[in-house]
Amino acid sequence: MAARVNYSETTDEQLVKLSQEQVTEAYEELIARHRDKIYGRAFIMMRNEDEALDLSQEAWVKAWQRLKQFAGESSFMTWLTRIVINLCLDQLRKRKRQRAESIELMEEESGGVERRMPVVTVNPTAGLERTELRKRIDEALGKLSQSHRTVLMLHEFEELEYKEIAKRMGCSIGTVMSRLFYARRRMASLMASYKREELS
Amino acid sequence: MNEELGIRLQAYMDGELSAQENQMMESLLARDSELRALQAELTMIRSALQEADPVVIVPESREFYFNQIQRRIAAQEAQSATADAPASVGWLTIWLRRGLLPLTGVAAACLVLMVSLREGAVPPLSAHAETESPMDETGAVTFRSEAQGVTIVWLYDKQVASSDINTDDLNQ
Repeated sequence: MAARVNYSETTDEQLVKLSQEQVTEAYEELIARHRDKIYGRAFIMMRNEDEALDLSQEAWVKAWQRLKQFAGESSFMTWLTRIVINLCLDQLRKRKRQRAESIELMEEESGGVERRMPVVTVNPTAGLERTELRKRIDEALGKLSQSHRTVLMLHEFEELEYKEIAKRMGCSIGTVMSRLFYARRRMASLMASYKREELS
Repeated sequence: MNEELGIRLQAYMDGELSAQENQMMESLLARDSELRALQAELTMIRSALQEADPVVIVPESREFYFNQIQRRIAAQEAQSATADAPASVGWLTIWLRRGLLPLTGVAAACLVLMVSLREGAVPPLSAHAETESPMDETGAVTFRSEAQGVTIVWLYDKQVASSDINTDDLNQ
């Protein structure tokens, strides 16, 4: 009789191989291990629990259907994260098309908001515990527009180059640079304002 | 501060400039304190983001989340199977097997039990026969077609059946 596999002690690579052979228990373990990260990426982009759940689950479905195409050139998680990001970007594009006028475009066209933001000279994150820092970052991310949040996430969390971000977002490299600059400056400004609130 | 210069500084920090552009930016930084302050701000936010990639927890249990994915896969496989049959053995088949095999086992066990209970009291079945189980609380109707090689066992709760179903219909 074949020995019972303990999937919780199996590596991601082995689980992926087993999943490619249609072993659903192995895929279930992969989902259990990484569902928070995939859901988290969708949530950062969509800022909506239902949409994030829907898109993260869709990403797992798509990954299952395309598992045979996964050759292991990148890690499974990198591959899967790209899938969920693409699904979110598609959803955002659909939403944007539905709007008669893009608020984000208006924000960008108003231009130079970052010029009016004073440079933050005192580090507002100094001395913060990681949990508190995460909370503040999440709050600040929630105040960015979707395009600014997305560009920041693709660059900082997924470590994509400008060219790759532009390709994925369907915009020019110049737009990526400008959005990224604004997003970072706005994040710094928001973090400084949280620090001031804490001190007052 | 010149916005364009700020964006170039950012590109320098992200490693997106050429070697020559890097040198130019370094000499600018050496003599511009405002630019250095902006560099410190951008560095601060970049490290904060890298250090505290927000953790978001799926607001559903492991089982529920997985079951939803499983159902979606099954539904999509069923859809594509009807579109381009014959489909390969996929999730739907595996899922159905996992769900239906235990049920088939229970049905088979019931059948064996009934046959053993009825042994000796059962007249030989004709080519098409319908019989009823003598068990007290559970009733069963068996339909067997030897010609088609099919046996169907229908189990029902006699109490529920008596209130919901006209028993005459079952005896006919």
